[in-house]
Amino acid sequence: MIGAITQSPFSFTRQGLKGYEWFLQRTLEILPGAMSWSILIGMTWMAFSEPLSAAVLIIAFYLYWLLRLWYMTFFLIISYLRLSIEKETDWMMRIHAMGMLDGCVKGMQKSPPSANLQARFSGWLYRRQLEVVARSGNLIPSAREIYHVVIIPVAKESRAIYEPGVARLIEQRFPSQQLIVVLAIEERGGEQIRLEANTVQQVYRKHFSDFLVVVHPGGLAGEAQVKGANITYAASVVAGVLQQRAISFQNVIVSCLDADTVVDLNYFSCLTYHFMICPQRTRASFQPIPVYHNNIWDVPGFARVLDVGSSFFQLVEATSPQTLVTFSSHSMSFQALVEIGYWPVDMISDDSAIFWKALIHYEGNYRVIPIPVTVSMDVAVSDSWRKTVVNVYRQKRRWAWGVENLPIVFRGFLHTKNFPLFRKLSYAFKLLEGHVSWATWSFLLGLIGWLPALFAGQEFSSSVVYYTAPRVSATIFHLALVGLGTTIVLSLCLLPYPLIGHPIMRKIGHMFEWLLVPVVAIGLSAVPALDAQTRLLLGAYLEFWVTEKKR
Amino acid sequence: MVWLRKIIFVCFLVAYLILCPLTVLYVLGYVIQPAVSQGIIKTGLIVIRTVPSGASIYLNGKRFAKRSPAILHRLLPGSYQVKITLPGYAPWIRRVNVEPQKATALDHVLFVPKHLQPVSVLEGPYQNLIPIPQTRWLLLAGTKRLANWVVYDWQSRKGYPVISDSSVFGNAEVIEPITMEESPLVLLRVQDEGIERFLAVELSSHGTHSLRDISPLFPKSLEQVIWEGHQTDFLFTFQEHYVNRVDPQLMAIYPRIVEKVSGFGTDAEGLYVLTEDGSLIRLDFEGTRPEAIFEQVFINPAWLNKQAPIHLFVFPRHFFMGRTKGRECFLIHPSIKWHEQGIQDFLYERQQHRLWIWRKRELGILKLPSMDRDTDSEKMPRQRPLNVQWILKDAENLRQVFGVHEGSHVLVLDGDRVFLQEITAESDTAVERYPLIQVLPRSTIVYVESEGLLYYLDPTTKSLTSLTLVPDRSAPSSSSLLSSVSSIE
Repeated sequence: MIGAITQSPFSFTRQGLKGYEWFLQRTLEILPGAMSWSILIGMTWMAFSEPLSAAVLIIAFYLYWLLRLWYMTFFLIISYLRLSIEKETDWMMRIHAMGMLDGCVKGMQKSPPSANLQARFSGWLYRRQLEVVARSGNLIPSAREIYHVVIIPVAKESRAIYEPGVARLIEQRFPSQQLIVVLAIEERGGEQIRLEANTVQQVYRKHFSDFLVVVHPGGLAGEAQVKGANITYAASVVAGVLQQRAISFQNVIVSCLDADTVVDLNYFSCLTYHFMICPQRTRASFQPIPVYHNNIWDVPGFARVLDVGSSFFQLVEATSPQTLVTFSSHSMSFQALVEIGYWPVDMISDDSAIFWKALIHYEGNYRVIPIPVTVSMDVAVSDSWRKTVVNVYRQKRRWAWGVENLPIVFRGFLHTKNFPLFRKLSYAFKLLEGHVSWATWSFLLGLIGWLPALFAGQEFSSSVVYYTAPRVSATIFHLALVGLGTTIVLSLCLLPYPLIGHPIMRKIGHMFEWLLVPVVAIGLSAVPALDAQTRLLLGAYLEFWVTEKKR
Repeated sequence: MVWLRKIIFVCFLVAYLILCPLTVLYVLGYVIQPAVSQGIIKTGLIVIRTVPSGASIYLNGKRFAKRSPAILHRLLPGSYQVKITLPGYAPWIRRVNVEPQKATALDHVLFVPKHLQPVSVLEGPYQNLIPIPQTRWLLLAGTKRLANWVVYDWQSRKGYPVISDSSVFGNAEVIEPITMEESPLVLLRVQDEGIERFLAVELSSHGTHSLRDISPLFPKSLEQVIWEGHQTDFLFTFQEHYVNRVDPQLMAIYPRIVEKVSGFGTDAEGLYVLTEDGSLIRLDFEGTRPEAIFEQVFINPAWLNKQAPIHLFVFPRHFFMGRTKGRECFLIHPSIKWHEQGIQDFLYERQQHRLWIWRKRELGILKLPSMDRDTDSEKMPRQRPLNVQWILKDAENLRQVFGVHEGSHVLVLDGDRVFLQEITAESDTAVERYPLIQVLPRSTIVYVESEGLLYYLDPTTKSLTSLTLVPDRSAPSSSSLLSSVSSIE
């Protein structure tokens, strides 16, 4: 049974467009790839034809990059500290305290003198949050009324991949009897996948409020073979179940977790707390910090560095809720999900697309709340080193395929009337700049920036710039080592202790793995991003590809 | 967090807006000098690299804090006296002009020791020294008798007799050694018991040399023999306007592989032939698959039909040099017109794409244009003349020239005296001349750029002696980019 879907006047899809809308969509699809290629080709051409101008532009870019790196490093530290501070927080206690908000605010005036610095700071943040909630006068739902729908999409993944994640749900500090678990199975996955899902359902059903196995039939009209279609179908079935059980959508939080996701023990308590204190909780998504710790010590060094880098990027992003976009496993109000018409059923990047869809639907009145808790996933790995490279490459290209959102989001912005212009411009700039810099910066830093000096002609090599530019570049790169050093230290703090071998030696070895950054940043980050943008530019759309996960 | 982020963002934005223009101005050579009326002025710089490094630098008499290599930044435009000193070496003093936003590169300053320290590397006595360009060997002649000839391997620093004591050719007298660039094969034209013979010596890095008598392969009226350095199975001889191919391994002759030949030469791609009708063709080493390089070469017809062949030298970018027995040299290219008489020899520098050319009393530079055969020559159907820039005109008897330290200097053997001549990079003019040594009369010298070593025969002891000219090979790009085309014929 399909739940009540409120259709937005703007259709968040590239399918079925005609006339001007098609032309606009196609033009905007070309835009990011054209910009990236123009920058790369233009700078290469300039390096040979106008080396002096190229060298000056590159220095200006290096300086921008350095400041941006420092800026990000600063917020990486802030974000990491925030994550560390809340590590020992008793979220369930805070949830229960919500029932007596006034007394709680007064009682929290001072932290106990015996508390450590982390606990004091956490207490201070908690106090501020309660004051804001108390001042707002918003009604806070009872924790007992809140239900969590956990959708775990399964395409071809075996039971071994998703069962640890399901088992972890039982261990949650939040009562598992308020969790409705849904295994969203693809019909095309085959009978074996379905049988395994049914077995898992039988084993774990008693621990949850409900445990559903929803089989998504293939070939439904308007759908592509994407994860969004599967989870949309599952969510629509859940909507029917919730209606039958008279559970208000407003009190339901839906979490879409990748099959390999293992959430922190505090995940649902932390999520519930932030949902409760959120002033407009049905206009928000909740973004945990994705980490790739499930098999982090079983993968080649380059993959480890790359995925630690991805986690750090999300940590930095978490400090900017105004422009934060959902990524990978995340949660949101079920009410909002139903109102905006669920996930796009024809897009690969459903994790970010759902945010953009909501943002446009609610005319900018939607946001992402970062929550200081982690969800752990697998690093894409395979049988051999070479296959792992291919696997990682294809996974990063799929992430970069998030660029498919850009033309639809831009068109959506043009359709909105009450969306504040500055916020629209801010989001549009971030989306475009993010993708273009992803595809170009590593090339500029690692390759193109060196061309003017390497292929200098007689005229350029006798200019002052020829001698001063490398000197300034070297200084900038030395200063950038501050950022790299901080990143290495934080990665050592964030990574779990290796369970096999010599833990200290492995961690020391990991420090040296960061030397791979220049190669990895180009080969397994910029190239896949450029690949994705070029495909979009040429209209060669990506098919969904399930990342191979090994346990 | 939101307000913190905004504050930090504004701080970084302001920092960038201030730092970026200042950095760019610095990179471009601008400095802010409030005392000067203009406020912001353009500066230039001087780059100094010396061999050996660590030299003290004085600018207009004031010592610069850093030692070489160094870059002297933010210099106001004008003329500066640069003095560079290093204990034990002659000081290097020049007046240089600094132009706004320009770099004056003094990056090939080579110090010559005040007291030279030659090292005897192989006891003599020897009468002459024969270079084998672009190889690890050189030949030393004790007397005309072959038993007294030695091969010196400058990489292993060892000398070996060319033939063993028991060889039947020990008493043969060497008339002429024939060597080719990059080739381990040496042909010795000898007189053995009244009979003229050709002996082929294949040099080896292990010190063992194979020697074979290949006289039957060569006619009595042999005019010239050439081969490509690495293709020692493909020797080409010239006889009465045709070319024979000779295979010394199989002891086989392939007669008349090309006829109506006026001149010939080789490179790694094959055999080049200048025909009697004035066209230049290329064949493979077997003498087959002819390919026209230039349909019609504009050269003096009188040179084409002489009995002695024109020796062709092949340079990159399809430039060819012809040299007649009468010491007339000319360039072969559709767009270039140049010839000169009385040329002793020449040296091609790959990096600068130029030729050092010398007569008995003059040394000059011929800069080859950087044009392509297939494109530029079509655009410029008319030949344009090239001129040699003569930089030395007071020599007594120029015999050998070598490029030193990436072409910044030339090593010259003038009569029996050797001197080092510094050349300015900007104007290709001779600057300073450093007299070095006297060599054994009528003997030649060898300079190994990769080692920075000069080999010569000491006039007193007649021993093979070495002199270090470029001691610090780790200094700027020490790899040898010079290629000598000189050969002893």
